[in-house]
Amino acid sequence: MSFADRKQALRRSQLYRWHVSQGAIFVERAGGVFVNEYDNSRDETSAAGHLGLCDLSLLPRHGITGAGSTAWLLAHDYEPPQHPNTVVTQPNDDLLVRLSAEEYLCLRISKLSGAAYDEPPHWPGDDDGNAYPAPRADSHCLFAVTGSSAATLFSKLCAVDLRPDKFADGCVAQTSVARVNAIVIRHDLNGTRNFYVLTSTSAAEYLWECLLDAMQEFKGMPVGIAALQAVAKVRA
Amino acid sequence: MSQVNRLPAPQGSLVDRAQTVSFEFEGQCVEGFAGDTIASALAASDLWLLSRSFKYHRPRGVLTMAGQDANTLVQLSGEPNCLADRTPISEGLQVTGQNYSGSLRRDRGSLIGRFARFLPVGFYYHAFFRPRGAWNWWSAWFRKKAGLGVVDQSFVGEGFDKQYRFCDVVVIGGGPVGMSAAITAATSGAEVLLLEEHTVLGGSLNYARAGIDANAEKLRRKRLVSEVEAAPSITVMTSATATGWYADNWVSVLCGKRLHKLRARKVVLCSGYLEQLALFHNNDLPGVMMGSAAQRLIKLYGVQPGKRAVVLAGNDEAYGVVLDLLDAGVAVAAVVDCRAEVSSDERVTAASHRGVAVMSGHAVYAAHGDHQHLASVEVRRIVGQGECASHGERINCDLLCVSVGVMPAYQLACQAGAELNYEEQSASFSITRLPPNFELGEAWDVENFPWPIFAHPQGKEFVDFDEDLQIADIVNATLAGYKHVQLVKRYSTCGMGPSQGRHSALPTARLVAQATGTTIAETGVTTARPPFAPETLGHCAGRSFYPALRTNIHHRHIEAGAQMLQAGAWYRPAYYGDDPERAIREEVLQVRQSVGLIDVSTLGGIEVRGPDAAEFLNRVYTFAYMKQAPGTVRYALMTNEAGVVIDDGVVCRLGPQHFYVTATTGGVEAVFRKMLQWNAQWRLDVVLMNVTSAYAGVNIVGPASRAVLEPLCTGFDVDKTAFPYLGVRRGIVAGIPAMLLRVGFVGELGYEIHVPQHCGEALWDALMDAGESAGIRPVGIEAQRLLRLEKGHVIVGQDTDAMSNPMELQMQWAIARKKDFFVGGRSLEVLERRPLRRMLVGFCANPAGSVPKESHLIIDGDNMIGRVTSCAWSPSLEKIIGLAYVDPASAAPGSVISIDVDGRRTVSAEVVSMPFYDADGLRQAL
Repeated sequence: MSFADRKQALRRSQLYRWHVSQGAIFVERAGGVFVNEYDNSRDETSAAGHLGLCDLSLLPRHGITGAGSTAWLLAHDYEPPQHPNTVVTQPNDDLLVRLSAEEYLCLRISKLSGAAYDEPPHWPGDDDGNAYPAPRADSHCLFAVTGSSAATLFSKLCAVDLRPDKFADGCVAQTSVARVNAIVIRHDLNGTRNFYVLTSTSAAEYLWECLLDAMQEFKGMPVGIAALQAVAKVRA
Repeated sequence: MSQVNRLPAPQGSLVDRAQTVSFEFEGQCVEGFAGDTIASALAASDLWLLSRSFKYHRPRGVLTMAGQDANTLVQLSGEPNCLADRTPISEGLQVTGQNYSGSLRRDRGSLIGRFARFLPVGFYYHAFFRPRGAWNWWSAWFRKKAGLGVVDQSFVGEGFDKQYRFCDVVVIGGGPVGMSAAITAATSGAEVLLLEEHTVLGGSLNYARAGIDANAEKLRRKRLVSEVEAAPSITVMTSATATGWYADNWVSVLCGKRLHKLRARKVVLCSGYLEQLALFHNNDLPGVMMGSAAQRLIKLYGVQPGKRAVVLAGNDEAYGVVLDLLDAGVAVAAVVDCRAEVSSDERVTAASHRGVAVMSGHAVYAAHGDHQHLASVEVRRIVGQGECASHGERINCDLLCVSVGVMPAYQLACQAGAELNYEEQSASFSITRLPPNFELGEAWDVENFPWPIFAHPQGKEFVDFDEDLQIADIVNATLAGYKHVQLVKRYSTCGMGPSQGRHSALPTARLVAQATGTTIAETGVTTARPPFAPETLGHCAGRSFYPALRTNIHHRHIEAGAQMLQAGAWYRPAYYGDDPERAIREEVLQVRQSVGLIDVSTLGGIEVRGPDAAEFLNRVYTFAYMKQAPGTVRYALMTNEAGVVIDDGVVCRLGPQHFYVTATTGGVEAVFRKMLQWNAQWRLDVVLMNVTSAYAGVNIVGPASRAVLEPLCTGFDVDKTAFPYLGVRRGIVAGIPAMLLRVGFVGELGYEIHVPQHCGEALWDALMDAGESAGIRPVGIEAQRLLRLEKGHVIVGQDTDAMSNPMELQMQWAIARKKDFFVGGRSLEVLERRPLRRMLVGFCANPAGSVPKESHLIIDGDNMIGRVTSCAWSPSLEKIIGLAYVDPASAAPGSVISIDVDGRRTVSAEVVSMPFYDADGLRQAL
C-alpha cells in the first residue's frame, strides 16, 4: 500500500508532507500512517540513543475527565497513577497519564507494534456517569524525543528542569515548550532516555521545526518508529 | 617594535609563547601570542593609545585590563564597541580605534577640548533650540557625532542561542572567595554552578599580591582549583558573566553567544571589588592605570606596563603593586602615599628594603603627557581634605599606578534588593540587608583612602571617563538644583555610559555629599539596573519563538494559491489568487450563486458536559439554554461583568448534559479561561474542555451546498425537514465521523462540518471532489467577512470595542430577560436605564465614491459623532455598505451621515435598516 497518495490514507500526521520531503518510508500502525524510517544512510537507531525525534501523532490515545474518572478507571481494571503529573505503565504496555486529580490521558503505546487498528479500548461513552471522554487523539500531536541529549535539548526550549536527576522517569510536566502549551512525559525506553511531548495539533509543524532547529547543536535527527522500537525493544 | 615590552616566563600565565598571532590595529600589523587580548598585545608592542573619549576626544589607554571601563572600546570588522582588554586576538583580526576624525593619533575631534569651558554639564539642555528651527540643524549634527563604534549594516547575522539552567547554588565569581564558597556548598551536598567572567578561575590570585611571597597566590590558587575540579557537584563556567538578577533568583548569564537563563535556589555573590580612580588633573592620560591593571599586564600577559613608574597609594595593596613592578624590571621612582603615615604591612617594609622612596601624606596633583602618553606627575603634599600645597615636585615617569581604594561589585546584590551602606571609618561602601537566599562570599578588608579627590584650577580631573565628566560638572549639577544623586546622574549623565558607574559612583557620592552638605551614607549611589555587563543585540534576540498555528487543511490552501495571513498565531487563507479585489468578488459571488468551501478550523470549540451544563451556559451567555432542545443550535453572546460584549458564537446541544460551544478564533483562549474562573466560584457540576485543536471545520455554503454534501452523508438526512436551520447532527461524511451545524453567518444555506483534526484535509478533498461539477471553489476569510457584512453580522473585536454593550449593537434580542442571573446582567440593567451614547448602524454610500475604511470618522460639522467599523463594496448588492457607530440622533434609517475619508474629503452615506442582504433570512433557512 502506498501512502503517498493522499486519498488512500484517511488519517495522516500534520507533518506528512515534511516526512515525504525527507524520503520517509511509511508503515501502517493502528490505522494511522507512521514513518518507519527515512530513506537515507544514517543509523537511526544510534541516533535515537543519542538524540532522535519521532512523530507519533497518529498513535491512538484517549482522554477521560470528570469527577468520576478515577473511580471509572479503577472499576475497569486500569491502574491509575497515585498522583497528578505522573505516568504509570499499564499491564498491556499502554501508558496512563494523570494530568490532574480527575483527568487522565491514555497513550496506547502497545499499538505501535500492531499493524491494524484493532479494538478501541474500553473507555467511557457520552453518558457514562460523571466520567467523560476527551478527544485527545486529535487535539494534540505527539512526538518522542529520545536519547542521552534529550534533556539538554529541552533546556533550550522549556523553562522546566527536565534533567534526569530532577525529572524522574514517570514524571509529567504541563508547561510551555517554545512558547506553546505542552505536556512533557518522561518515559524511558529500556534505559534510553525518552520524553513524549504533546502539543496542539495546530502547532505540530511549528514545534517540530523548533525541535529540529534546537537539536542541530547536538547533531540530533528525526527517526522513524523502527529506531524507536529498536531502542525500546518493543515486541515486533 | 614587535613585543618590546614582553616579559619572560613565568610572567604571562595566559599567553602561549609558542603561538604567535598577527593582527591589524589601525592598519598596522601587530604581533602577539595566543591568549593575548587586543589591549595586552598592543601594550606588548608599546602601543598604549586605544581610543578617543566620547565628548572631548581625549586619548585613552589601558585603565583596568579587566573589561570594566570604556577606555578600551574598539571597532572590529563587523562588530563595534568591543572591549580590547577582554577580546582575544586572532590571526588576521582587524581592529581600529573609535570616535575620531582623521586618525586615532591625530584626531581632529580633539579640538573640541579647547572649547570645554563653553560646554559645561547639561549645556545641551540650554542651547540649540533658538532661533526657532535651529534644532533641526543641530540634531543632524549631533546624530552624526553621537555614538562610538559604527554598525556594519552588511553584517550577516550569526547564531545566538538561549538556554535554561538550574542549580542549587550559583556562586558568582571564581576568585579565592568564590572557589571556597563553591567547595563549601558542594561539601554540604549542593549542586553548584561556579561562574567566572574571565577565562580562568582564580580571580585576584592570578595577579594580586597579598604578601611578600610572590608564589603564595599561585600555590593557593592551585590548591583551590584542584579542590573545585575534584568536586563532582561543581560545574564551572568560565568566560561567563552574570549580567542581571531577577525575581526568585533568576540570573541572566552571558557565555559566548549564549544567554543562559539560570534559576538558582541560592545565590552566593563573590564578585569581589572594583579598584577605584583617584581624581587629579589629567588622570585619564594613557599610562595612568589602576594598580591591578599593571599587575594583570605583568602576570597574566607577561607585559611590562612601563619603564619608570610612580605608584599612588591609599592602602597597602599598592605596595603589592610596587613589588610586582620591581619584579618585572620596572623602576619605581616613588610611592606617593596619600596616608599621613604608612602602615607596617610586610609589603611596605619589603618595598622600603628594595630602595623605593615613599612620600607619605602626598598626592599626585597632576599628570603631564608627551605624545599622548604620561611623561611626568606633579606630586604635592596634602594639606587638607582634597587640598594640596601650592607647590610640589615633578617626577618623570611613563607609568602611574593608582591604588587608593575599592568599591564592592554591588550591582547584582542591589538588583536583588540589598542596600549599600557607607562606613565613614573605612571610607567604603558595604553591602547590607541581603534578601533571602542571597549571600555574599566572605569579604576581606581593603582600606580606602577617604578623599582621593584633588581639584585643579584647569579641571580635567575626570570623575566619569565614559562621559568626560569632571569634578566641576558634578558640583555644578548640584548648584543647578539637582541635589539628589539620582538627579545628578540624569542631569550630568554620570554613570550612564558603557562602564555604568563602576568607577564614578563612589567619587560622585563623595562630591555630591560635600556639595550638598550631607553625608556620603545619606547620598548613596544611583540605582544599578541590569545588565551589569554589555549585552549584545544578538544575545537579546537569540533564539526566539513565534508560535504559528496551521489548520489540517493549511497545505491545501497553499496548493490552491491562497494568500495567507496570520490572524493571531493562526495562518488563514485571505483569498485565493493574485488579484485580491477580483478574487474576493468572485468568491463572494460563488457563495451567493453556487457553493464555496471555507476552512473554519480556527474557530474556537469548547465542550461543556455534566448535570449543570445548561445552567452553566445560562450564566455565562446572555441567551437562555435551559430549554434548548438537543439537536439544536442557539446564538451565544458573552458579556463581561461590566456588560461589555467580549465574544460570541453558537451553543449546540448534543445531549441533555452535553453541549458544544463555539467561540471566536482570537477569543477562545480567553473565553475558556473566563469559564474556568467563573466555575471556580460557582462550583457547578460541569466539565469544561477546550477542544479547538481537536476538530477541523469546513463550512460548505451556498445554495448548491446541500446537493454537493448529500451524497457524502451516512446516517442522517440533510434535507430541510430532517435537518433544519439551526440544527446540529452527528453522522458520517465521506467516511469520517462528523458533527454538522446549520448556521447562517454568511447568510446562505450552509453546513459547518466539524471532524477530527487529522481528517480535515480528507474532508476538504472529498467535498472539493463532490462539488467539482457545481464549480465549487475555496473561499477565503476576506470574502467571508464581506459575506457576513452583507448579512449585517458583527465581528466581535472588529465591530465592537472595550465599551460595546448589546444595546449599542442593537442586539437586545440576544438577552434572555427571564433569567435570574448571567454575567453582566446586572450591569446591562443599569445601562439600559441610561440613554444610549452611540449605536452601531448599517449604512450605504454612493458606489461611485471612495470606499471608507475602518476607523474613518463620522463627522457632523466640527463634531466627531462616530466611526466606521466595517466597510466594503458589496459584489452582491453592487454598492458600498458598512457598519458604523453613530450618535443615536443619527441612527434612524434614512439619516444621512458624513464620513471623513482622508482628512479633506467626506463621503455622504445613508443609514439603512439591517441586514443589507436577505432581510427575511430565507436563504439561510432553505
